[in-house]
Amino acid sequence: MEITLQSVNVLAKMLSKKEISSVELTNEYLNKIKKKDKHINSYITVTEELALKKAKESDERRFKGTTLGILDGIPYSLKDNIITSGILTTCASRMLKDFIPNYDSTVYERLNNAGAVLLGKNNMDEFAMGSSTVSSHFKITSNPHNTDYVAGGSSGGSAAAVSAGLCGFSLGTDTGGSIRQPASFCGVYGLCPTYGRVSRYGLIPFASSLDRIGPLTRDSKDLSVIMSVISGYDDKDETSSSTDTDFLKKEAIDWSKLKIGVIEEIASKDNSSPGAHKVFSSAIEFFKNKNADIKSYSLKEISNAALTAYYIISSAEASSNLAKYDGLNYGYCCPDYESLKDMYKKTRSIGFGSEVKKRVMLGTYVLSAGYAEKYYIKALEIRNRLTEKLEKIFSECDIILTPAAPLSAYTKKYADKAGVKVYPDDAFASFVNLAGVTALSVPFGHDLNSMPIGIQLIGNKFTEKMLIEIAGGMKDGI
Amino acid sequence: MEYELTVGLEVHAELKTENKIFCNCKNTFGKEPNSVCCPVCTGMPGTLPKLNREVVKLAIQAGSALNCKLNKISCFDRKNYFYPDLPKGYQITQKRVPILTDGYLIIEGEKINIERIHIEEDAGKLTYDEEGNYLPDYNRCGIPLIEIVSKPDIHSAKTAVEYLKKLRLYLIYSGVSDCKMQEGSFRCDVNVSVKPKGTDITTERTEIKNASSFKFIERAINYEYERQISLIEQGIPIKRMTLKIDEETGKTIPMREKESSEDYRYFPEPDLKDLILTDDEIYYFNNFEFLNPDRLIKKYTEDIKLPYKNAIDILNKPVFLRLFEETIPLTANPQGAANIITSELFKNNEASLLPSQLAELSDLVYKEKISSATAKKIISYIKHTKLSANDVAKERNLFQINNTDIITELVLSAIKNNPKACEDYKNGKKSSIGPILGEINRKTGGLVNQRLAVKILEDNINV
Repeated sequence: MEITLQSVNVLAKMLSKKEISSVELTNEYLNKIKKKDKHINSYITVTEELALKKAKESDERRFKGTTLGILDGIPYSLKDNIITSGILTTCASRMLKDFIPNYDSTVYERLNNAGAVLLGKNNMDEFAMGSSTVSSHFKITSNPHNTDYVAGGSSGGSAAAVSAGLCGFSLGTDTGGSIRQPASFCGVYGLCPTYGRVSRYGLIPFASSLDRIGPLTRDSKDLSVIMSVISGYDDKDETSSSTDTDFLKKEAIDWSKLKIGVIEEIASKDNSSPGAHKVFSSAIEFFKNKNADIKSYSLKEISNAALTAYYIISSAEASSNLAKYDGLNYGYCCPDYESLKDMYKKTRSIGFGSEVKKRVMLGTYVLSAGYAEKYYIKALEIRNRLTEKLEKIFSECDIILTPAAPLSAYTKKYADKAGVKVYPDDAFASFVNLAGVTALSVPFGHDLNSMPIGIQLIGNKFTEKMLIEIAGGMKDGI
Repeated sequence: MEYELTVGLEVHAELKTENKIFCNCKNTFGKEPNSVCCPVCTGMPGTLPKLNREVVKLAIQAGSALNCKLNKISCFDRKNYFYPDLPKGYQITQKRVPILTDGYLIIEGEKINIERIHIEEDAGKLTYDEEGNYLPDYNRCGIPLIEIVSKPDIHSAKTAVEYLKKLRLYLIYSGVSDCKMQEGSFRCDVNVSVKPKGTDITTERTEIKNASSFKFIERAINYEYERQISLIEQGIPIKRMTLKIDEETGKTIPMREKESSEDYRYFPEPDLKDLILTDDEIYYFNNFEFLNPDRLIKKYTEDIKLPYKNAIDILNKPVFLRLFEETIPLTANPQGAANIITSELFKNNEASLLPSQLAELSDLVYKEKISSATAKKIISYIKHTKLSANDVAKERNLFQINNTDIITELVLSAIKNNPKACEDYKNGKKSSIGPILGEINRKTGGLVNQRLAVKILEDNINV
């Protein structure tokens, strides 16, 4: 297998056996990016100089015997809404196209301290709002399996880079499916950790109560390694959890004792594309053959209310989180204005793309006096109800099984015109964020066009390890 | 037609914590613009707030001092609006459930209720250059505030100001804030509404902001009262407005820029956990002790029998209050000590004497061993030192002459030397005693006991 497509664990072994140096490995990726990324557009910024500097430092440590851990010397990329000091962090928006922060995100700090090598920042939907990267101010990311198709979103760049072997692994973010859906579209693993598992300090927020940072990888075991470095309580983030998990310790799964829940409203044929449904059915077969217990549940909120609640809550929080972009101190500012209000209006009209403006307006509306009761407060109630119901299901099940998305990747042409038609794509994913639980997208098959389709494993809070183990065991079922 | 004035007061007090509310920046005043801020308090993208627990401690102190109920669980909300002094585009405050509710202050025997006290962060400060460009200074962003909201129980401008003065004292003495109006650590917003007396008509209220002194507040409330009456009598409805005070005329005038009714789209702050108080914090609230201004005023006016004005004057200067409190147990004449403080030490605004020195000085005056004038002199010798007043008086021969024989001798001699003045006095011009006394004082360097001298003079002058 081509070295750039190897898993992180294999690369780490190669580095430790000195079969390859970090500088050599990094150059492999940098060269491949130069050759291939013009067709895929998974990177906004490539940090060549920095990467080679970090790789050299890693090799020096290895020579001295002071290697920092498994990730020391491993090249990776970050979605461009994660703050990196001294490096452009744009959120794929005109608003921040020249923004270079002078402070760090916690995940970047932790990966640095682990010796990992940053290759660059990945393309995404603008401010993480979208599911195809069509709303990126720069370019749309293509699916490496067929470049006429989208890579998904909003972490489309991350998923494509991992799939195409343009990095060892990537970190994306997930607010309503933004790691899992592109992972499914690109045929890679994407973990949406429990809310609070990974510090959000330095994540430029879309929806603060829904956002998570998570890894995208080519192998399920890589997820454990990365989680062991990036997860854990952060003093700077009050919402981060102090639940400690040893991700590197193996946890064996007794398949025959596994209790799997299936949600009627999702499992129904009518709610997925034929390809997605076919792969989902084969997943059910796989678990049946392992003698797992499969039980069906009805969760009627899934049919409508949950998705609506997701759009209301995420847009409301986004409208507040994006209020700071006004051109006054940093970021894009419209050069001609006649007053303060005019500056605000013009800067935000031009600085933001249409999808972002749509959500900000929607969010402002649902929080407004006279409407908040009807929309926002109601959405919170739905969220609470959903969370309670899921808790009940998890009291009887270990995991819930769904297709990772109702469909596989569609064409870029379609994405360009689809507008809000793609909103229901989040139906299988967004309720996970609303309930605060965790989910993993596992590649499990292809549709009739040979485009990848994934399966989603949903677990109760802090059960990522179990999900990763199950995913590992599913490899032989693909 | 009689009208009733109703005033509601919203006070913002800066808490004197070591650091800002959500970051590690120092809580300071008067530094170079934008020199005391960081990515968190300037709301840079991706940063998150982290609550400084000392803020909770001071809020608890304020609530305990003001007789409030404590909410074990309270929470934070976002108040959303656009303004150059608010870098995040929202302020983190407490809207739904504040940390404290239902307190009160007694003002002139009346209970003025406090609706709530909540915690919030301050915004930056805006100034402008000559061209009218905004110059935001973010040093003040993230300074912790408590907002104290009174119920509309106040019905006169005078009561409003008394309430503010007393509230300020309580906040100072409970160690919560230094309440310096000129530095912005004590800000008052005044809500004024007027309605015909005896009716239940609800009228719109106007809000007076950015008052810089209590004097202006009192005038402005009275002006606003009259202004609203005049509108009511003309049948013009009162519009909800934000006003500021024209300090030259004392009038209230509408503020520019800020809209009168903004929709702040409050929603729960997702970046902060609910504020859940620990058992220690609750215990602290229930057992918090401090120098209570009302109890002190009572003690000073009833036990020590100080005139009310002296008591208030000392109370308004905590440094002198501490000196006075420590002097009381050391002296037989606390009133005298208070006098020395207000008439002499206030001049330089320095508590330049030790309690032992003040006590000794006060006793010397009380026992008539020295005169008040001499006390003044002695202060100039002993201030900022450890010298004893008694020793200095001895060394410099400053003790009063109290010996009646000596005084009588002096008096008789002065009478003999001033026959005309004595004549005038006997004829009714009582003030002519002055020059005679003057001669005695000149002869004795002012050390004769004035009281005795006058008495003996009066006894002998008619002979």
